[in-house]
Amino acid sequence: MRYKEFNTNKVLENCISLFWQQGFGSCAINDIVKKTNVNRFSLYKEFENKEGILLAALNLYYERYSSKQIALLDQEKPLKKLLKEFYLSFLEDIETHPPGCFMIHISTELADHNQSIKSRLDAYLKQIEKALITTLQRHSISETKSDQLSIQLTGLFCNSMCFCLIQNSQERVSYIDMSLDLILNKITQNGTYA
Amino acid sequence: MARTLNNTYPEFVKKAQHLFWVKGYKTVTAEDLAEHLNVSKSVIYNKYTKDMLFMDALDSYVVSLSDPIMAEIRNSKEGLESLRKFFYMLIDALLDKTFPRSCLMVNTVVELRNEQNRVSDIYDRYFGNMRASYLAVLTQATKMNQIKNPQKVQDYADFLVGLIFGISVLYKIKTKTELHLYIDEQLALIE
Repeated sequence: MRYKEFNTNKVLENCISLFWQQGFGSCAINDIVKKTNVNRFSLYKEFENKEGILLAALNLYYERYSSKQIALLDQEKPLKKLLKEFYLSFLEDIETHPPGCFMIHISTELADHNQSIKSRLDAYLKQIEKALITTLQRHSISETKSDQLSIQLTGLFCNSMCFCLIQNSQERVSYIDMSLDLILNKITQNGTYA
Repeated sequence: MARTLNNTYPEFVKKAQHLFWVKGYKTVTAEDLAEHLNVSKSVIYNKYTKDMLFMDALDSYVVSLSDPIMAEIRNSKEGLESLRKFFYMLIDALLDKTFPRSCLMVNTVVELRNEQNRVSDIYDRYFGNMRASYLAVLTQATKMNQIKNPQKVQDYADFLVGLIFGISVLYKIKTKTELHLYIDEQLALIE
């Protein structure tokens, strides 16, 4: 038996940055071969097809990045500070990835026609909504109010993941700051958030 | 049968726009364009290049689609109601595929970010005009006493500009009722 000659996660990391930079549709299998240094045969054997690579890349992205960013919401900190940290964690320019969210990026391209991407987007946003509800309730916000606010805050997530791409870092911070004030202000008016 | 070249350039741009809207910029090849426009590849290589068609497709999106709608919003006397109508209309266009995939400008932002200066110039114009139109509505709405904190209209305008980005994602998984409710609640934040 031959041992697999490549590290799956390392290959997928390369694919995340390739798809994120270039888009999925415009990457040919040859681009993937070139980027990962793994031959076509081995790629197909491991992932079946190009879409298989994408789905595995999305899984790894969630596991390594967004699940940790969502977990930032579990920290013990004042509500606004916590939320701000959560949003901004996606908006930093890091070496390997552009700012924003890989799931949103891929969904913009594919979720209209690709059913599995569409259900992943749905599940992903529900996950974020759920984490937000838990966080809001932990800060003594009523169940109804938390449900409502989590939808607004998930909307802000979608807004900022795309809008941020043409904002500079200062604009990103002030957009998040202002939007959070506006959304959270709604609770203040009802005296439940101080 | 000989091919008749009776298409005018604006018609080519319109067809190309649809293709870029559905597939994005990078995915579309010269072959795709040739086929979609029903011209030979050499026309795409030598006369109407992909970049030229793309820039003109974006330009026509601004000039023929967005500018007239924004002018209508600016001149409306209905205050915040005109914004609600605008967002409802956008949601309808997304759901019934009049807009074949999200907002073309949002797609371009996600795909190309600020990679190309001439594209960034179009964003500036598009989002700048959008913001100015929202601001005009907010000023009108202030006169009509619809706004609780008129000193914050600049913030509200920025906030409203952000909405089109999120809607361009959310329509893919939400129902019309959910999306309308979402807009109502967003607008309630500034009322």
